[in-house]
Amino acid sequence: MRVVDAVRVSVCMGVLAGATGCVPVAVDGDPPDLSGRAVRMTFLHTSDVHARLFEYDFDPSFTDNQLGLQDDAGPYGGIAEMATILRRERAKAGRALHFDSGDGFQGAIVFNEFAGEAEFRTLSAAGLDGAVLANHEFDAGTENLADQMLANAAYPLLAANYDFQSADLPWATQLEDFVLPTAMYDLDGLRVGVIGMANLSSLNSLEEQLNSLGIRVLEAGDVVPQRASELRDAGADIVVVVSHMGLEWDKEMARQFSGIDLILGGHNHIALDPPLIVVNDATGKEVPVVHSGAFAKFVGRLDVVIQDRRILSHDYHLFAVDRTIPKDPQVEEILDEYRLRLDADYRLDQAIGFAEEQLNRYGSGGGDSPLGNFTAEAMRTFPGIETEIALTNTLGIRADIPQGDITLDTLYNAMPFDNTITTMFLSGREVQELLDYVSFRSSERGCNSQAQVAGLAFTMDCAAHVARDIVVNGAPLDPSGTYELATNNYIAHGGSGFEVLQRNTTQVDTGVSIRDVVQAAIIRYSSLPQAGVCVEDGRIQPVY
Amino acid sequence: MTALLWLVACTRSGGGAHVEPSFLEVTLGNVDLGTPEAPLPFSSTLAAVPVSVRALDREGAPVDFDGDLSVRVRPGRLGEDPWIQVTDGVWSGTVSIRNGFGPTRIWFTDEGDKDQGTGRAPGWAAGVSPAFHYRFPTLSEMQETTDPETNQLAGEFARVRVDDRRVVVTAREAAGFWVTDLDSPVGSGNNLYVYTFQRPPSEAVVGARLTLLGGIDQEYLASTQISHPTLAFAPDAPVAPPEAAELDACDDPLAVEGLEAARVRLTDAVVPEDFGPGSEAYADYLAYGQWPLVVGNCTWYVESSGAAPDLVAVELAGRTLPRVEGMLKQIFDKWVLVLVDAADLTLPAARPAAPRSAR
Repeated sequence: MRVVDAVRVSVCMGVLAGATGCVPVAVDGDPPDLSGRAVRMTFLHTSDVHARLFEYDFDPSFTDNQLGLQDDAGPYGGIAEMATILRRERAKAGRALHFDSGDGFQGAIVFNEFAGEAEFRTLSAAGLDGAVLANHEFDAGTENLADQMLANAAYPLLAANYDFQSADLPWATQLEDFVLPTAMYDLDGLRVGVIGMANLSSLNSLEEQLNSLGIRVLEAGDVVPQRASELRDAGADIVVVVSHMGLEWDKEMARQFSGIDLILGGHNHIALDPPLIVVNDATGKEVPVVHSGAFAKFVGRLDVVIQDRRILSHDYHLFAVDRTIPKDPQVEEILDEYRLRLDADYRLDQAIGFAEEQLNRYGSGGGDSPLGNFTAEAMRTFPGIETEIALTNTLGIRADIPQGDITLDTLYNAMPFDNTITTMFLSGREVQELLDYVSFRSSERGCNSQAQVAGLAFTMDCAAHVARDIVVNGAPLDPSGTYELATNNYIAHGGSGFEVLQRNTTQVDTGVSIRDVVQAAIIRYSSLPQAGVCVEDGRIQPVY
Repeated sequence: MTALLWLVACTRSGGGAHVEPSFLEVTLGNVDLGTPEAPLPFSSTLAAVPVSVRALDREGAPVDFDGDLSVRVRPGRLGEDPWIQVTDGVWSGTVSIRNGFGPTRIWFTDEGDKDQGTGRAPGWAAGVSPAFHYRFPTLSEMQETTDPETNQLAGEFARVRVDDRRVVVTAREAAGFWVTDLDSPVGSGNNLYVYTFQRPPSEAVVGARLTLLGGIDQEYLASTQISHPTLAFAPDAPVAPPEAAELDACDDPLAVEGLEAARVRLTDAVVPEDFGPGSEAYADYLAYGQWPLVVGNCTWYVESSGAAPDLVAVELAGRTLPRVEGMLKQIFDKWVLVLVDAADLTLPAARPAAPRSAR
């Protein structure tokens, strides 16, 4: 008779390593022969933590409620609370692995101050087994990413579709050495092959051949089938893609590439409970596609039963991260270091204003929004900027500001990006083109406006993909006129597809922080909303 | 660690030397599994399945194991307590299942004992039954319910039986579209809203027939919807969508539920005289864009902002609307007609000018 010990994991990084001597950990002897036997395997999944290492307040939506995040259970999130759930669930599983689908960086002041160090250290302490490299990991620069990863990440970062080639960029060499295309994990005889698929859509310069990041992007169709085949040849029982490509890409990969058994995805900030099931075109195999939310609100757990190198069945559970979850002491100890340093440098809980009600980043009818109008007006009217019109992307505002005191902490959560204001001159025709693009882009997102404006009013026709009845400060748009625009430097550089801005040659990056401008406006008004300030006024009218 | 577990295993209540299994072998009694080509019918009625489970050790040999195993069915629902008790390494009995669709399996897992007080450490062995093959439910089968706020597959990644039926698009809007199964009776729950988040695919024109429909089955604000859909459409020419069903009673919630997501019509409906500033309905109108209509003793609501954005509903207070058509959705305790075209609303004739003497 034998008592089975706790299952341990050996990680064999890269297919070559796996093929050349990655030795499975034996549990009381040789691993069992799994042929013809059903084996349960547990995947713990997180994604898009976005630096929400400290718990925070917000007003859960109806969808959040449905997913298990209840009203009045805040504060929510927090990496120490997530770690508690992860350790608890790992203890309630035999063979278990935890993967993160990227974008641990950017979204709270701890990232702005410590550039990813805290994210890497706490995710490592939470026991993460692997993560895909995602777009916001580059937000403090590629060199920073390489430095932080080497110093603080105790888990492999994966990206099979990035080729770090540039010999001129020293960090590219570092990333080439340490970012792996694949990894193989051996769990008491069960071998799990993992492919990392990094983001393609949200890094501006990725599409260009000799891009500034030193990355050559590889086509998914060239990467996934080959890597899956290599992993199978190296003995993988199943092949998992850990992805930050976004849901539509994840579905396409599951549909097209027969070597994939499971996708753990991120980027869209959605939680799918239950996971999607995509039927592979060639084999009819059902592939679960898992997305487990964002901002440290949830931890996902997927149990699968594997037999003869196939997933036969699966079951998924999503755990809400709220104040009922105790903090993991090991992770909390690390967080305390950063908490003390932030408290010394900032007074994060000091009120800079008061929100009489929640200030929403999205409009109630899909058009302009209170926080969007406030931000755009603050940009346009800031001393030294003073342009006729302003436009900023709605997704640049990352969270609503909850009712109550507006603190520096809540402001950073709403506006985490260190973007600056760029000014430029546009012709009337270019303004029309700009707003047509906003209408097109919004039509792909349920006709919810993807931009917020000041000095402008228009009808956003999502069916025709055009902006109609454009009014500039009370007067109809003059196609031959010239208008000065204030915008953010992200979309000025072509981010989110704003090509009409990217090609403009009159750009001036003022270096003025948008967050600082909004902070100054909050302090000036003290209490929001007020008559005509921080209110939805119908300046963007969606029709479809 | 090994020594500790050995100690736990040898001292658990119930006595005897016990070993946690490494594998579970699951066999079914004499039962029809169906096949992919000839699937069993979808059923919301429990079916008892004879099952045997045998515990095996790492070498695949039978093992003397006493303890509980958890049971689940994926996809589908269990009819009883999801635990069985294994004695001397074996268990035989029945498991009751319902609502299976597509390949469906019964799982057993050693997650420790149901009564965690026994202190038995779980071994995490698992076993699954051979797959049953069930037909996907029709829309009416999926939505058969005694509770208007749920349905048979709520919370599942559902597949709907469309391949041999005429399930067609009846209307579309900015972030979704509605479908109706023309081969099921009107009012039988044969309609559904498909939420696409972004503009529906170009093939989803009114009258288009679906050949594939799956997605996450959820109750959103008490209306059934499929989100994150998997879709395919037949290349056929679009067919005429069904006529609107007349809404004439509201006293039977399940009857109204049977029309959820159908195109429905109200005739000679009255906008309440007191619909205006200060009323609760007006506050709701400002917040959510829905305005009330009364027919007999029933109050319905209309959402017109998408199809008729220029309509100022409050100006209709006290007026009778000859005809209103829309897609019926439930928002908690309200039933709302969503207008998809301005022509779905027949406004009353202009008020006659008041006699000069009355001015």
